[in-house]
Amino acid sequence: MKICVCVKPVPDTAVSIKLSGVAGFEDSEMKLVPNPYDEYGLEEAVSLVEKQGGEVVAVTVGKASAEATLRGVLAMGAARAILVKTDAQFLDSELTAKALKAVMEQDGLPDMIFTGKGSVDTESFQTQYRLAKSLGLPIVNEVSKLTLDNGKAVAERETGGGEKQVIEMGLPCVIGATKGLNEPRYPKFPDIMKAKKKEIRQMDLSIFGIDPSKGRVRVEKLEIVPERSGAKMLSGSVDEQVTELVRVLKEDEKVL
Amino acid sequence: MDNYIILKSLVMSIALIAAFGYFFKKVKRLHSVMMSVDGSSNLAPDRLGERIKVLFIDVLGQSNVRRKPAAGLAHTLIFFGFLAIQPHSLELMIKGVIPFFEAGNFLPGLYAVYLYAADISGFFVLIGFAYALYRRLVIRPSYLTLGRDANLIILFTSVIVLSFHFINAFQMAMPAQTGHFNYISVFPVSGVFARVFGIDTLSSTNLMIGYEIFYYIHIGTILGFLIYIPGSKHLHLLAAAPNVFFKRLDIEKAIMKTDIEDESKETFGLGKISDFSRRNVLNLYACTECGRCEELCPASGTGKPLSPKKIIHDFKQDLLDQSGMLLDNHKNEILPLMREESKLTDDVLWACTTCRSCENVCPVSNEHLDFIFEMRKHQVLMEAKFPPEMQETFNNMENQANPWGFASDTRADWCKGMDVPLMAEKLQTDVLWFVGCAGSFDDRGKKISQATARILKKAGVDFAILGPEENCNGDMARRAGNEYLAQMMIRQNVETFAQYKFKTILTGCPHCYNVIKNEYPDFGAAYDVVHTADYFDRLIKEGRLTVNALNSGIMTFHDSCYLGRWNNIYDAPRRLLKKSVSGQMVEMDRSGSKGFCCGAGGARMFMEETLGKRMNNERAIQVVESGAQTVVSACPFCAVMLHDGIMETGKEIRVKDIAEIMDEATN
Repeated sequence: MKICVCVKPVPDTAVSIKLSGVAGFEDSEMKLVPNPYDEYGLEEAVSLVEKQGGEVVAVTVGKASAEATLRGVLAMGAARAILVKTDAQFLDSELTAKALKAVMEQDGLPDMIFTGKGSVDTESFQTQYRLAKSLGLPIVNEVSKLTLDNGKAVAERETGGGEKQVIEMGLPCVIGATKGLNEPRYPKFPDIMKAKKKEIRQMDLSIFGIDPSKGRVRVEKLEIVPERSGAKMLSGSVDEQVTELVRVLKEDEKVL
Repeated sequence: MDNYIILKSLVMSIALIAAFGYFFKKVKRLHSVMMSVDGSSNLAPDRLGERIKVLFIDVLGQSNVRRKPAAGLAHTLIFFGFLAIQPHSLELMIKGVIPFFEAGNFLPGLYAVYLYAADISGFFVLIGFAYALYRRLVIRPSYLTLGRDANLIILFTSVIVLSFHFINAFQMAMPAQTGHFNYISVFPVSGVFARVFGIDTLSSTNLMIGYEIFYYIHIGTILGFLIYIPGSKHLHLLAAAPNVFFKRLDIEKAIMKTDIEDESKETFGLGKISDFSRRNVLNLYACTECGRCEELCPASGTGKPLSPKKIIHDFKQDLLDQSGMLLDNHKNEILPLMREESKLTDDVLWACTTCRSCENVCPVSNEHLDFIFEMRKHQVLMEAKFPPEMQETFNNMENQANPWGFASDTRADWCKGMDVPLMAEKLQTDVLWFVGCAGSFDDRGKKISQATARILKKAGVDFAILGPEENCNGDMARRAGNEYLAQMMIRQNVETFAQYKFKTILTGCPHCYNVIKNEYPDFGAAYDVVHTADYFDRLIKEGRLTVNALNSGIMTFHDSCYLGRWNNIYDAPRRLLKKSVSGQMVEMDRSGSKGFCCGAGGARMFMEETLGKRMNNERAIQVVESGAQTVVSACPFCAVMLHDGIMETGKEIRVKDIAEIMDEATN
């Protein structure tokens, strides 16, 4: 069984972003981590292959610096990685999906594709749908439980309010992973060492005839979210506190 | 009669050869086991002169066992008394084989003195045993293994000593023969035995019979004991002295640096008995399960399943159980130390705060933590098995160079507006202040750092911090077994240090202090490292800081493990407090080298404490019992833990770092 896991290198959510230019941010010194939701997909793929045999291939569209991020992905159990290089800081979901499709076709189509439910940086939540659509495959996103049974995948997703959808589909398919699917492993040291020698095949985005500037979604401007002002403690009796709260919401915060 | 003597000589020859043969075979096997293990130790048997001195002080002087006065005195009596009667027993053995042998014929004067001294010593052994029995049967301390093994040993040795006295009693009652040694006045204690038991009234035939009976009891028990020793915890009779001889001579020590880049190595850390170092094995042989480690262990004391004594016992058991495969060089077949049925569980391994109470108190100088560190190393590097909450901590350290995962570029935010210089701007200073993660990111730690910054400015110290260039010091990752991550942190800091010129590294955190001072040298970074408690004292001495004798009420000082037991700094903070504030100092019962851990060390700060009582709550109760109004610590982690513990008690007790006190107490 061949499984492709799409991994996006993203800034650690803890990191403080510094803007560069109007629509970019400083990333030359920044250490990018695998998108956390993609890690659930990766873990699921690796444990499936550990049980059933096969190969996990990590596929990334990103800057050349993504190689460092991919080493970590290889340490977690991917057999090899493919990096489609682009200098663009933001590649829109449509072009990313196109690139992923092209590289998977070139490498040989997999039996399953894992992505995260979305990426924590741009949060467009589109790439996996566009990829599935272009490959003509079924997709279930936000999967928190997955079982494979006789060439079929049964995916569970929470739809809110404690309700679950259970969806059965044929393979190949695309699974958008989310928290709850598994606990991504911490790599063993020998695996970290082995990962240093694993193959990362690199190619330019341009060989697939994709022009990053031709995306239909463009980042016009980036702004830093202003720091939230401090919390207010209300005092007095419950009645007084409620009255004050309503006043604050109405007059100060103007949300009512 | 002649026939009897020939028969006795024959029986004794066979018995002695058999018993000593068995004994040496057993000991040789134990030695082979020790020599067959693969693990390395960072302990070199250097400084011979000091080691010989150690033998005199620790072994002959019995100084370590006497840190527990009553039990220690009993041990000293037994130790010397038992040694003293051995030449006599040897003489009896030779006599048994060669009937006409008489030691008294050689140097009668010296022989008489010896017998006199041995006779008294034997009596002291009995006093020692009386106390040992009282302790085992009446006091019954919970940390003591009250097993059959110990009782058998007491029985064996009591029989040996009692029969020694009876033999002497019979001997002295026999009529003196001209030309032979006269025993009549050399047995002050056995003489009493002779009178009390009426031995001096027996006929010469009965005396002969009595003598022979006790002779066989005496020698038989000694030989039985000899056979018993190598397989029992009383192997310590043989292993304790060499173990102490090879002990670590300095208090300061480093976790062994593992060459993780060595590609020829198939495994790292301690996973199975063949990974032990020889020093480890000697430690196992030397333990006699006295339980002093368990008595002081904060994990044992708060109901965790960890006991340093049991770890050592279980390791020894596993080593002996699987020693066949080790000796046959079938090392691949050896089962891991942590396996389904083993007593060493995750809960045991990860309960340790690495406070080092066990090592500090061990009378045979065992190093329990060496086992724990190497096992954790193995579990993390080879098995990726550790408390799940540590995964995020490891990732945070890897990505943001601090355990909480705050953005690494906000590391200097704690001193915004305080005009604290950065090393990157100054390039050269007297003092590089390594603020540390707690001091940079934790709310409590930040206040301590701000106080320290104010003090340094008051004293006009030429200093700078690294700010965003600073990485976690690696202590936490290392003590949690993540040697790979720890070395990553350490190397980055070492590279950063090398870019700048400074004379001293100052730290307010004992963990930073310990790892930079004692472990960075293994990575090529040897600097003068000083903790704030010492440094402030120095500033006052140099007249750069003036104290205002602020009255801070009744104070107690909580020793941080990594300042105290790891680096022997107990007096400096107390001295500093005494000269700076006018409050009254009280000591907790568990203070100084017996200080009780706050519960944060060994990366426990970032693990859940779900078993037993919380260590910091236990410490807080001890603070309350001291009657102090303020508890002073010299570690940001201790401050956090103590604060939470004191809150639980509901008492109004201030928790202050020594820097905060000094900030208030200086002009």
